[in-house]
Amino acid sequence: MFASINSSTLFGIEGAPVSVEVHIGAGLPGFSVVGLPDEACREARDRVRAALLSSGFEWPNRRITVNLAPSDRRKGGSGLDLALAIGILVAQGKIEQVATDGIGFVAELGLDGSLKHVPGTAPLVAAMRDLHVVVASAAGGDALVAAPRRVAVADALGDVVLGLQRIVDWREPDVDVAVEEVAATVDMGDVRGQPVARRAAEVAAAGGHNLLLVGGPGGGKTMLAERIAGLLPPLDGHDALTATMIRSAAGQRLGGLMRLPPFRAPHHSVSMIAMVGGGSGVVRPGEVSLAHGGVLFLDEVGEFAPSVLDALRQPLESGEIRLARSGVTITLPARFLLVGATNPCPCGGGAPGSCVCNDSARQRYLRRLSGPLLDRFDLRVAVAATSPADLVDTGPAESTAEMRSRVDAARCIADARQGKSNARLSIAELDEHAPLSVGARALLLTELEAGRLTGRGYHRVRRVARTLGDLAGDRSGTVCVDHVREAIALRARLGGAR
Amino acid sequence: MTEHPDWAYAAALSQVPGCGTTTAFRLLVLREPREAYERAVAEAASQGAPVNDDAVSVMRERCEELGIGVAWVRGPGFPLVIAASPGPCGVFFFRGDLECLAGRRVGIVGTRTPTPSGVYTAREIGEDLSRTGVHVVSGLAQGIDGAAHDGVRAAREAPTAPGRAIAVVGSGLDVVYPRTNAALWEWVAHHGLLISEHPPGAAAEPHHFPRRNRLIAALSEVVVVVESRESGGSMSTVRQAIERQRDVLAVPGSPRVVSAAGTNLLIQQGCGAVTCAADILSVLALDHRHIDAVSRDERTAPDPRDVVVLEACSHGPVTLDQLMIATGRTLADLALALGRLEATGWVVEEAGWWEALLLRRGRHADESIS
Repeated sequence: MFASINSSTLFGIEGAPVSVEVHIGAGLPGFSVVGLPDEACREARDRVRAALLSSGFEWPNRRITVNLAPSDRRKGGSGLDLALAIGILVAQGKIEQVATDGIGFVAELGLDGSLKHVPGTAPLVAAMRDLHVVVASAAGGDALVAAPRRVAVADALGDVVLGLQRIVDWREPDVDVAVEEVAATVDMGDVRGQPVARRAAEVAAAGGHNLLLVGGPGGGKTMLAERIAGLLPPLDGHDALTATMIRSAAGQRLGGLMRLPPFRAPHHSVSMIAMVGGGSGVVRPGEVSLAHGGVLFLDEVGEFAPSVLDALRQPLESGEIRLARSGVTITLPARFLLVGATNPCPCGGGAPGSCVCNDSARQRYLRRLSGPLLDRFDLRVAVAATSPADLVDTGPAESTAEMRSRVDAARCIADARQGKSNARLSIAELDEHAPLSVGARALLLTELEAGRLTGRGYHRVRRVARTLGDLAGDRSGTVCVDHVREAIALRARLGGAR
Repeated sequence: MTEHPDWAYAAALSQVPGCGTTTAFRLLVLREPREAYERAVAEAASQGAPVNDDAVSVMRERCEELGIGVAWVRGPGFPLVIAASPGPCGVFFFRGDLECLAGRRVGIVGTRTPTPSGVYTAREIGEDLSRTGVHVVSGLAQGIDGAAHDGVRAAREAPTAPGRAIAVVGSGLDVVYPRTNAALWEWVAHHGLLISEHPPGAAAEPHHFPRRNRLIAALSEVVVVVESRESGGSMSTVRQAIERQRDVLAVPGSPRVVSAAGTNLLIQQGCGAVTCAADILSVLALDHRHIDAVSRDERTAPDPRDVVVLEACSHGPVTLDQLMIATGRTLADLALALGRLEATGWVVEEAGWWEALLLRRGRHADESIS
């Protein structure tokens, strides 16, 4: 009359084990679920009942009580459906309790008894470390990424029952999950005639510097941004697993472990929740987490809601986002390279003096762009449309692979020196790892005194100059004057400040 | 009823409902201010718009407190050039020295969103005119207007420069607009003359500016447009100047630059082209020989290595990308050259666009066309 079945539920991007306890006893026929279920969990009753009946089982006309233990945390989603159905069958004596020991169940039930994929299968399976897990056939790939040798799949509730009764053998997933290493479809070689923008992309990738591209429509800002992810090093073991779990938790199907740095480009109408993650009950990862280890591209950055841009501050500084909800605080990883693109003014601008906007519109636009937002970009580059002659005449430019080799070398140098990317150096660490040569110090002093460089710009320029040194293979330890000059040139003056 | 000085009545007249610029002018030109005010109040009352009894004393206190003076058409120091048709002005408020209006006066106007080189040109012309004793009339707007008066301020740091700044604004003299020019606004009030037709407290309404422009045109002997779009405030000043038989001069700009389209159009239509203060002085029939251009350029000559780069930025604003392609240099090399040129004042950068500032002064005396 009692059963306890293993399953798991999602908190952020991590799964937590849940045991689904089912009790069938005397009393008025009914069905109640306790243990802080959300709406989807509560609706499980109707799905489970229909699935059991259509699979040829009986629905007990007795008092059914379901407890989701531990009962002090909220549980969400439909992944507990299968465990619930099996629990009811065990409590009715159709299956022996011992048959279910050591097995976890994660799947949603259709009314016809079929098993369905649930979002976050990978972390859900990962949460049941010591168990074998049964999932829907469609979710086999996701489950294998998390637990290579302990997964069984089934198409319908009937198959699961037959498996548990040892009438048929368990089926293994027939998907092939090698590491997902699809060759990138876009290559830096496609970007013609924009040497500065290309260089800025290389520096951004090598030092982890956030990059702002300023220019009118048709300048190739989006094209360039898409290709920056390809310059980043592939995700290492831990990061790859994290990125995979994030994608699974966001409800995407997986083909395998994610090694390629992701590229995310949310539209400027994106809501706060969609950007940073959240939601009531079940916390879902947002764009900042989906871009973990890769590039977050904000096209028309001035058009995003100011509150959304403001929320980027924490992940940009700490590489993670903390979401506090009633009763639970979840920390999601969110370390990404921010690439922004903007028009210089509402009309698309172009060279100074060629804008046709009226003054108030221009002022409004500049105000949105100014201040804290601009401060987060180390590199600011003007991008103008390539002239037709350059577009047609120049051959393919340097490819992603060639640029990546330099980026990798620079990252190695930085890693060996300080164990992190240059963009993440604190001001104290700058003095230790990027001391200025005499000439560089004098130059920066002149620029500051002449008002051509702001105090914030000063530190940003020093970090970029360090990366330029690393790219040049400079192992002298100090930052030289040439690299400071180039770093200044890669920081365009916006709103009068550099 | 207490007696008030004449100026207080003239000032209060500008606030009587239904009494516009033209009516105020007609009343003041024929009558004493007090009589004119009382007639205007009676007229307003008959239209059902009664005026507070203490309006005059309130206005008087306000002006005295803020140090604002009032000039009316038959009063002392009133410049008769602005009392002429069309659009005569009967009364205005001012801060500063009315004596400024006695000298030679050149109006400098232009767009509020100029190119860096337009800003530098306006500043230079303002500076050179001030040094030669010519007063500069402008509107204290952003862009060209502010730059011209900024030039006068730079010249007057040396006490020998006799030319002063005269600004006509479109709001009350205690309402600084635009805020970005607040320091310049105060400087003009202390060292030049700040004029407004609007009583203290009046906001900068859009319809004030065409009226402000007519005063700039009327107060100037010639109007110089440094950079202007094809439509906009500067072109309205130009129309006002032509209606009043003032000469209009324009500084030519590149045909690629939208913000110089208006000035180029003016030149096409036959208006005189000027490139420096000396050209303007010759129009005023003043001695311009001692504006010696090149000798006053304090910049050190550009490094020979950088001349190619300077040349490449001298045809209008260019991006780094375009410079790299044009010069064939590496980014590091270019960054060094631009850094040197910027430090010595030969190039400026805004939003990633670089532009050369070649002609900082007018033509050299030897180069003038014979």
